[in-house]
Amino acid sequence: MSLEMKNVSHIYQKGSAKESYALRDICLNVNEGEFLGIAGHTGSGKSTLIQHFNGLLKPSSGEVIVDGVNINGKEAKNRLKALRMQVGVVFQYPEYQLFEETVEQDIAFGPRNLGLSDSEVQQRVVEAMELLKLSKKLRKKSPFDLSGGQKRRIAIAGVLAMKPKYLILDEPAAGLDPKGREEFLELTAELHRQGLTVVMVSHSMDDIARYAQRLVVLEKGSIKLEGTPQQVFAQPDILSEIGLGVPMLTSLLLELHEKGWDVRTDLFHPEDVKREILRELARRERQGGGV
Amino acid sequence: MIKIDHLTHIYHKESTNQEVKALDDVSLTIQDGEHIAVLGHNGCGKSTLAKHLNALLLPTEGTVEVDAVDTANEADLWTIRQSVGMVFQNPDNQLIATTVEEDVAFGPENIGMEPLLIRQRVDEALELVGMTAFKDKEPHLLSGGQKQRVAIAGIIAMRPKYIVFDEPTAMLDPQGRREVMETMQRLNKEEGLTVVNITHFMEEAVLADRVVVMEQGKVILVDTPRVVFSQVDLLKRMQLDVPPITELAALLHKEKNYIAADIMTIEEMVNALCH
Amino acid sequence: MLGDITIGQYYPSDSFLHKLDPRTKIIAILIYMISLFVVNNFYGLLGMLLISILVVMISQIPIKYFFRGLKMILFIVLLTVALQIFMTPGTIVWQWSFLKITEEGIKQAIFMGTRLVLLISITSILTLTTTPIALTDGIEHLLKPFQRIGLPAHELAMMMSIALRFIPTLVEETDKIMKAQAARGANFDSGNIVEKVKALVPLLVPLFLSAFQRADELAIAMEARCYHGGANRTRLKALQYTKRDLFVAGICVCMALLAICSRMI
Repeated sequence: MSLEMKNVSHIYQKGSAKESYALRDICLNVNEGEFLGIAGHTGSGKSTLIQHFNGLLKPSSGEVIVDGVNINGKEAKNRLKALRMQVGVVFQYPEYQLFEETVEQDIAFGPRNLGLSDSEVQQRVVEAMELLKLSKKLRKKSPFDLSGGQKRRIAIAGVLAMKPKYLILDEPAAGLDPKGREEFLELTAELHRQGLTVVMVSHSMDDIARYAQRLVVLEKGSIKLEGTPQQVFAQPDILSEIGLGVPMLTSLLLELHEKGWDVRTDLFHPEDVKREILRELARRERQGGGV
Repeated sequence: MIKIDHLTHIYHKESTNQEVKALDDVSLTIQDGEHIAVLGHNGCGKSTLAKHLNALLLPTEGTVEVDAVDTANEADLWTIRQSVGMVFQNPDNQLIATTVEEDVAFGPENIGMEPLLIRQRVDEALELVGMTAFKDKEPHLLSGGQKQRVAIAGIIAMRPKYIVFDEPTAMLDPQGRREVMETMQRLNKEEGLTVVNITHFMEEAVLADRVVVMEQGKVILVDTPRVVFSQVDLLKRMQLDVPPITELAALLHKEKNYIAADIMTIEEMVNALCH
Repeated sequence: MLGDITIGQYYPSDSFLHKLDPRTKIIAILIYMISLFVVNNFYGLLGMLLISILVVMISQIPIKYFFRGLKMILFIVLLTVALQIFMTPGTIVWQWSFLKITEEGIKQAIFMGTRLVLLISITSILTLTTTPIALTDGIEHLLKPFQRIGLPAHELAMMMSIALRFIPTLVEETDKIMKAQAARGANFDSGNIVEKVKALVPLLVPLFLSAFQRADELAIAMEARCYHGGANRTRLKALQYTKRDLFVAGICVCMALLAICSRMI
């Protein structure tokens, strides 16, 4: 089972003089259970791509396949809603989508749209709130009286209450302070540990590097690089050409490597980099050269 | 020189009917030509502090003086606001006019400048932020970084002495962030403007002459970035970001004490390792 | 989900009309409109038609672009024509059950239809050749004399220009919120009217809340940039009458006189 894109292209204003490719021949597989990172600049096609995952946009050519069913095809017609709900999309600054009088009602909006029974809706609300560590006391409160971070959690809970199998988050930590960023990145990782398939879209290489098992770099509507973070960061030239750069400590290792140090250049955690540098320092000491 | 003397700000929160002390006995002097970064969490009072510098807010206790003029002095309000410009977080919510150059002209128009002089100031300001080519464009067609540069130009056109940036890059992508930071640096280094940058990002704070760290309405640390960032443990306890390279330096310093704990750039680290 | 919505639909060019002072254009168009209702026979109407064709030609706006703007109001024109044709009493030329067409009806329909098309053509020429900001400036200046009787001319103009500035931003935002709610299974385009209105709540509440927040932040930003109302305010582009405006004023007077004379034919 997987979320799959087969040769997906998306053309804006097709046939007019302003015709432009937002996506060009994208082939992408999101495997069940993985944590995939998608990196790219504003205008790289990231947001167009996200909207294809749950059928908000239709490809100009190619197919989007959710668990074996083409969501824009004939066989999906009758259960399009259910299929789309397999893929939960949390957009940037999701707190701006809240509208109900109470937290509980807002989270229930999605499940209600699915046509579930009242008791089932209630249960989903409770589960989603637990998953996002929202205290039960908040249920009857107005979402607009809460802090920015809590609002964002409620918005994410609203998407999770539809029980998607695949969760797509666009810049979940955008606009937050360091504490909030940390909180939401950790939350994303926690949801992944709970069994969700997570796709995180971001322009911060440092954030993606920490959590993603696999990384896709998007540039001008095409996939430019793909692989484990290590594999991707091993191509600093291409990354800096795109203007994305590599995590700070990876560039340190690259610089050391250029000076003749025998170090790996695919690490980015301070602890890992420390170990790698100490190992090389020790080797150099043994050889009597260098330090 | 801006002199903040024992400034306390208390406001009344309507939703909970409580008095909140947003600033608690803050004293700080900002010298002419200085670049100061203010770090701290949301709600630590840094934005409230910023709004005191150009009399958008007035002290409950204590005083704020801009070039020896008390901001509480209503007669001097427009002089103070002209002298202390302010760039805000959301690039969309501070552009007023339907074209770039009309927007830059907004400030000078408000202080009743002669049209010919406005023209000259607008052209200069747009040149300085590198947005001349966009002068007839509509603001909503620009990228986030470009919008912020237009907002900066709108301030520059009033020829202020000080510019206060209130989280100007929080909503921008890396490209936009670079554009704004380069502009900020240029204004400070080349044009001699005094810059106060309120931010979460340590990469930005590293560029400042002095860093002010705030927590719960109090200033808890004021020093050069090198001294501030070498206190990795304190910053981590406050859950503030530490530059990864400084974090690494602190880790390495524990093992090999010839590696300084206050390293801030890749270059310094390479030098320390390959001496 | 929402396409490109162009508001104010200004078409940049360097024509004689583009260079004209907005105040002159607004007044000229008012005179044209009045003349259009002064003329009461086909000769007069033909004259007005020729004038507007001439104006379109001078404006240098591509005919295709111009007609695309008119397409939107085609329905209103057809409706007016239909009403006039079928509802005017007089000599019957054709009848089918309760529908009847009269000679007077045909005349009325042609007359009203042409008037309406000309009216809309000429106003769209105004917005096509004038930037929104020049237009609001022009209105502000023309309303200034009424300030003495308490009309807030500056405030009105400022409101208009801020509205123009923020329409595209709010359209973009509407689009974003619609997508976010659609991702939660909201359905904006099916169901009966009651359901459709209900479906708008998840869209309108967030939209209003964010508009209020924007207004709040914008007010602070304006204050920080020394805004304190219209008093002692100068402008980057001060409006100035030139010989061109005098020329157009002369033509307008002639047009009005001819329109009055045409009634005597």
